[in-house]
Amino acid sequence: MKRFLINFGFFFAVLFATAWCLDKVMTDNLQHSNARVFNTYNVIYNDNLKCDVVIMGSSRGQVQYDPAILDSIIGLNCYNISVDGRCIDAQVTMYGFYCHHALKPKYVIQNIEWGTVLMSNGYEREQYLPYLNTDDMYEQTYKSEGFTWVDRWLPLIRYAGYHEVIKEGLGFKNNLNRPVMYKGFIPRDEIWDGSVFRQIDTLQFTYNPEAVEIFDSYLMRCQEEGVRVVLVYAPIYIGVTQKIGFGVQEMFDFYQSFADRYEMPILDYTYDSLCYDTNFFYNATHLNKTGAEIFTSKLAMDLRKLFAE
Amino acid sequence: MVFNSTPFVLFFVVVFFVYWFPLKRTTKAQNVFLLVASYFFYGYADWKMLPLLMVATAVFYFLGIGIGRSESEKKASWLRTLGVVLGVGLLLYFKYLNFFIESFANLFERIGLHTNWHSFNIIMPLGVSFFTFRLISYVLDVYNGEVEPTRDVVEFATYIAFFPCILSGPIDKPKFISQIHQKREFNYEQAVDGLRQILWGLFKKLVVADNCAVYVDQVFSSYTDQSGSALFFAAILCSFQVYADFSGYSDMAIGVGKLLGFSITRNFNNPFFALNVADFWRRWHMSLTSWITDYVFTPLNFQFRRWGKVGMIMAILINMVVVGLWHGANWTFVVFGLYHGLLFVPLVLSGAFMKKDQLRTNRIGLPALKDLGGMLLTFTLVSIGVIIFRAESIGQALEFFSRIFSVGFFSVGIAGAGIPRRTCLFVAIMLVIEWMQRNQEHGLVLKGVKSVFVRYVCYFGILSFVFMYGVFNETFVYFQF
Repeated sequence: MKRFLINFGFFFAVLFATAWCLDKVMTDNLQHSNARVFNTYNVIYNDNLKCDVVIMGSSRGQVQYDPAILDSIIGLNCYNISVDGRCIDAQVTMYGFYCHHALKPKYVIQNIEWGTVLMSNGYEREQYLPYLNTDDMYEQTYKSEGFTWVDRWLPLIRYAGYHEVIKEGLGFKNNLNRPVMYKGFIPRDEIWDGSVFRQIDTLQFTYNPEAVEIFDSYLMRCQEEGVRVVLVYAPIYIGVTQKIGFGVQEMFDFYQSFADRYEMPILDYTYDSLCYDTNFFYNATHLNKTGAEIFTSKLAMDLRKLFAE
Repeated sequence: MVFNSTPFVLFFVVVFFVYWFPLKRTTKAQNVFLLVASYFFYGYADWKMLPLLMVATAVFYFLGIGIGRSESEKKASWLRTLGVVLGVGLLLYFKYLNFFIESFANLFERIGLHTNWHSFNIIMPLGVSFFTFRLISYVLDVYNGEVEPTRDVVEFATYIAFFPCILSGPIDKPKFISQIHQKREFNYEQAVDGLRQILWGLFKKLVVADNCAVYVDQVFSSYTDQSGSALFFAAILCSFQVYADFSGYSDMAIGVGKLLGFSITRNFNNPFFALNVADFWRRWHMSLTSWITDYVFTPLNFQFRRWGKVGMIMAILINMVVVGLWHGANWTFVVFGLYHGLLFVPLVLSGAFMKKDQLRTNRIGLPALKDLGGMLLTFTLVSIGVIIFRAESIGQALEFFSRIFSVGFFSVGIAGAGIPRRTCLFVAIMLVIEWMQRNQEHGLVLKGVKSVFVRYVCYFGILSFVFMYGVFNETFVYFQF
């Protein structure tokens, strides 16, 4: 038994030391990665941001709100911290990370839609890995993303199975997406192909009580900290609204109740002229680069008026 | 609490140290501790069914003693029959009752008789197929004089609930009780081999099986949109998935047993190197086939012996239907068993059924051409069976078959699943290693390797694969059985 324990202990020590070193190297590399999935977190962590306005949302936030246009029209420094494929829980995690590492913003532009107040399904969970060894990130994500103390405290284990991330962390060639990004905005210079529109059978406004609680706490926090939140319904292809009718009125009523409670303005572009032309969309729910530029310009003009009040 | 989970690692570290340090000197205390640990393990997975396991264990313990004490053959026979009825009844109730109700109701509906039968809301206890078989084999072996009835309830209960095997086997025969009874000494070689077997099992499960599962699940869930070649390829990968999943679990169970000083029954012996279907079943889920051979096939074959080969075929067909049905309450499993039974027919008629051919290799160590042909044919036949095994209904299986050949075989298909090249590489690595180690108990036996450096390269190489490409979802195919 003594021999077994010594040999196993030695093996384990070598394993642990290797894991610890690899963890240090990988985490450091990933915290400086420009891959899309890590980019926004890394900019927030490394660049000491001082923004007046942050834009929050999911993929529709990421591809539709151009900070360059907003900067030029409203004259404030904007940054888009939207999280692709994620609902309010992950968006609030991003906001918490932002507030922890950067200067608190004056305004938040919150993109709202039919799927905002749901819980995320773990899509691109790897975005948290480089920061999971910090209390801040672990506390915010262990419940919603299913991380455990093993991921927090043991080296390297949190990266297990994410082979593209491991390759990125070790500096090897990999398939992680690196689109052109400007201040968190990812313009999509693509044309409408109709495939998503054909696939959409049901698009219903729903909400999850846990997500509603997160949304409510986040709005309350903003109010308490003097951060002004503007809720925005971004354009969606009119065919989706007409064809499916995803409980639009119910959705309006839902968000209006929050707007009333926290005295927030809502800017609604659901029936904007953009929504009637597929030339401005690359799919049924996302504006393309041209559409995003026009929409952001309109939004900026409206925000300028709003901020001037 | 599956083997590849954090709770199990913590659980096992505690069990290992308590078992080999404070309790090292007294086997009885070790057994009590093993029993408590096994009940904790089972209760952690399914605490509501723990009383059922305990009561069943107590009943069969007394049945064993009753058979042993019986002065008349008639009484012993009666107690044995009671044990078999109780064991089979347990399985029938929890696993098959709804299946029979629904099947008979459907049958009556088809012949125009309306029934008002409803299925019950029965929750199947985890591992019921495994521990029930242990219970039944105990009363049968005691009756047949193969083992003495144990007077030690702790030893018996530990045999039934032994935590490495309770959820997915292997199904050890009652002779295993003697290992529990004996004093166990820590054996360095055995423990190290156990750790290596666990590592090999992890590779098969997390890297091979779970990567295959990603492709197989995708194709099976959208099989109406896939090309014929994608369906065919999914059937092949599904065979590897089921094998790597179950044999990986078995390797981990056996490895855990070795760390505690036990020698658990081997469950797989490179089934994809089988030369025919009979050979395949001698290598696949060996603890189940051995159990069914002893308690179903041999008595049936004896009963039917006067009909010669026809009798043997009948015994095999019944035997294989039982094997199929053991896997679950669905007609697909009955057809799966029947299909495999029918594959035995040419072997029985040609006399190749009982022949155990040694694998022949050519000069460069690869299988001889004739053997390779046999392996490929057997594998293809097995993969066809896997489609039935995996399908949710016979209709779905038939549609799957028809689509393999009716949709353009080499077309891309609407869903376009493509070829998972990396997964194929993992399967190839597993097969090459198993071929090289085909005469060893598992793929990571390093008896001849003296260099510590080379051994470490092997360990870290496998760990790297698990770390990079493992899929960590903590589900096992055979848990459902």
